[in-house]
Order: sequence, then C-alpha cells, then structure tokens
Amino acid sequence: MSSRRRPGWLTLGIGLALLLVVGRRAVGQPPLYDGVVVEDPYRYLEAANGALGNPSSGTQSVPLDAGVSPALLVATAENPPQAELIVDRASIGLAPGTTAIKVTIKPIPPPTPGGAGQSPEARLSGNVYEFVLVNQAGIGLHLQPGKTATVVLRAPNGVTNGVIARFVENRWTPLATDNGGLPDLYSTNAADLGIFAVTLSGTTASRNPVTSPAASALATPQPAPSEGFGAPIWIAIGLLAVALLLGIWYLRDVARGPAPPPRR
Amino acid sequence: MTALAGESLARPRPDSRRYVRVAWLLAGLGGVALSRAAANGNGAPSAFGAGAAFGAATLGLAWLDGWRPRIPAARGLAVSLAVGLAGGLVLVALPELTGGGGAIGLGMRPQPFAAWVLVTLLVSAGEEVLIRGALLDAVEAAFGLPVAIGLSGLAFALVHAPLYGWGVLPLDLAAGVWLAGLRLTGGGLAAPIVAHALADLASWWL
Repeated sequence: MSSRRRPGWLTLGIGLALLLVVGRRAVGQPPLYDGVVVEDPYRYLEAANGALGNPSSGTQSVPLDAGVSPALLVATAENPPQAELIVDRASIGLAPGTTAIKVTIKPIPPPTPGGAGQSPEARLSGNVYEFVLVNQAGIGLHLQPGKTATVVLRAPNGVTNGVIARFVENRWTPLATDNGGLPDLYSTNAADLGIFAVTLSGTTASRNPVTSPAASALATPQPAPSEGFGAPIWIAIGLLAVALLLGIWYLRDVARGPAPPPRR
Repeated sequence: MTALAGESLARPRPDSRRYVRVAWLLAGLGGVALSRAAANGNGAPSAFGAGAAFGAATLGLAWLDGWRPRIPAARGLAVSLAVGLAGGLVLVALPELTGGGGAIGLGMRPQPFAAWVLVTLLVSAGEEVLIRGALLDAVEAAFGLPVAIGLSGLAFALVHAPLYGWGVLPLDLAAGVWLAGLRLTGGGLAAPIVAHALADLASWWL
C-alpha cells in the first residue's frame, strides 16, 4: 500500500489546488452537501391554475459593526429560499447618522418594460423580487463602488435555463449568473440592488410554461408542475438495463476463473 | 463503520473483463443516480426514500463487484480516521478560507434530524465504496491510476448534477480528486468516507 502513498500525496496536492481555484468563485457553497434534497414547490405572487401562492418576504435590521456595515444574509422563508441576499462586511455606503441597516426582500408585481431594445425572447420565470437597503431612518443606501452583493434567486421547480436579470432603466438587463446548489437555483454578484428576476435563456424557454413575456404589462407567472431534472427516468431505466446486461456478462465471465494481473 | 475497510477490489482479470467491469459500474452508477433524481420529488418522505435507496443501491453495486466490508487493524484504522478527519475539515473550511463569500442558505434541513443523519451517512458511504472503491480500482486495473483518479472524480461530479445542477461540477470534480487522494494516502476507504460524511453533515449548520 505504501507504493500508492506517493501518488496519493500528489493527488491530494492536485485536489487541493483545484479546490482552491474552484472554491474562489463558488459563492461559498460547501463542496458536498449530499444526503436528502427537499425543495418545496414554488410559491407565486400571482398564483393561477392551482399553484401555490403567498410567497414570503424577508427583512432584517442589523446595527453597524464597529462603524461599518455588517455582513448580511437575508432570505425569504421558503425551503430553500426563493430569494436571498448576501452582503460582505463594510460593503455598504453609509449615509450620515446611520446606526443600523435594514434589508427588505419582497416579491412585487412585474414592472412594465418600456422603450426600444427589449428582446421579445426575454421571459420571466417565477416572481420578481425587490431588494432594498435603508438605514434606521428609512434613507436609501447603496453598495460602495467596487463592492458587490450576491443575489440568489430560485426559479420555479425544474427551470434549468435561467439567467438573473436586473430591471434597470425600464428594461431587463441580464447579469452574469452562476447555477449551483440546486438545478433551479441561481446567483449573481450585483453592483447595486433593486429589482431582480430569473429570466429564461435559449430556445428551450417554451419548455416550461412558468413564464411571462417581459414586455407585457400584464405579465402573470403561470404555474407548472414540478419537473425535476428534465425527466431522466427513461435514461435511468436505459442505464440500469445496460448495467444489468454488462453486469451479468461480467459476473459470468468472472465465475469462469482467474486472469492475468492488472495493468500498472 | 464496517464499510471503512473496503480495500483493493481489483482482482486479476483478462483485458476485456476489465473494460466490461468499468462499463457496468459506470452504467450502474449513472442509472441509480438518475433514478434517485427522478424519485426524489419535492417532499421529505420521497427525498428520504430516494436517498436511502440510492445509498443502498451503490453499496449493492459494489457488493456485486466483489467489495466486502471488513474491519482493518487498529493502527491502520486510526491512521485512516485521522486522515479522513483532516480531509473533511479541509472540505468544510475551504469556502471560508478561499473567500468565496457567504454560503448560500439552501435551507434543506428535513426532519427528523436522526433520519437525515442516517440517510446522509448511507449516501456518503455508498458513494465512496462504489466510486472511490470499486470504480477507482476497476479503472486503475484497466487504464492505470491517473485515469482512475480522473474518471472517478468526473463520475463523482456527474452523479451530483441531476439533483444539484450543473453548477456543482467543477467543485465536486475537485472534491472527487481530493477524496481519491485521501483513499490513496489513508490506506483504505475509511479516510474518504469520514471526510465525505463530515462535509455532508456539516451542511446542516452551514
């Protein structure tokens, strides 16, 4: 076994280097969190066709931390949260007299995009959420220049082609989006807060009816059944059948007797 | 902890058997991973059932391949446990050390806690016995150790994609290589099983 220790140490070194490189852009998610995955059905602000309604809001008031803005982690109450905000310490610009910071996340009706340039392909998936930072007096606060906040949005169950967009100057602007944690969980590092939603990318948008045309003033997310990961059951059955056949072949072959030593 | 000692699983086989062995293990692993995703559903009962069945199925595949649990000597077990604990602490602490930001609160804490612990342990042990045990040895016998480390890491990452999304691939590929290193340096499967279980259990509080 000692002959495997040397390649083992080398493997550990490579693994650690990969973890360090990949971990830096992984929004702090733990590398492994396997076990039991429970994802509640999505709750819509404007529920229809039997979908669940009454999405929650999230709010938190936190005093300053040694004169600077504290680290914040605020989320809505669903499991997992449908909207979440993560802000590092000392990332928020403070208005004079600020002693505490209040964060509010709430679902709002879709705003009406206006002007030219709105892509007809842009479609919202799920609720639109407003992220607001104010101080104890209700004065609006913003992130400091060069700082970002992590906005996390969950799309309706099974939506795997989402991109987070921010509503700026009467239009939805897509942001660089990471997907992780769950197939329908998205995050982005935003330079400012405001109104965010998950939009659908690519031509597969029509696959899921939980959409609303972004250009429509009457955009109402429509419910969809939970789909999981693109209905993999047929692929699973096929793979299991292949495994069964190969396994029988392999085990019958093994039963015939010994063989040459393995290649090194 | 009887699964800790699954040691060298590779037995001498003709070349064709080696490739078939790799193929059937990969097909079986993919099949049970996708079956779990399909059966998981949105509620705790189905998720518990799918997770437990997945863990049992991975152990069953390894059993069919020839893996048998055994208790190693005390000294070897102590070394493996120590390596596993250290390796698990690295996995848990790394997101903070790398400054990747605050953890996304997945909020997945299905009750009862004891059942969650049991299923989580079963899943992590099953994945390690099958991937770092049977599959790594099978690929090593067919293609050599470097390919075995890479392919077992890739398989580990892909197994998680159906439930957690494609975004986990880079991080779980890196974790898979790390866990393979623990297997090789720790002298058995105890180290990666302990590290994997520690990282998974820590997620309750992250």
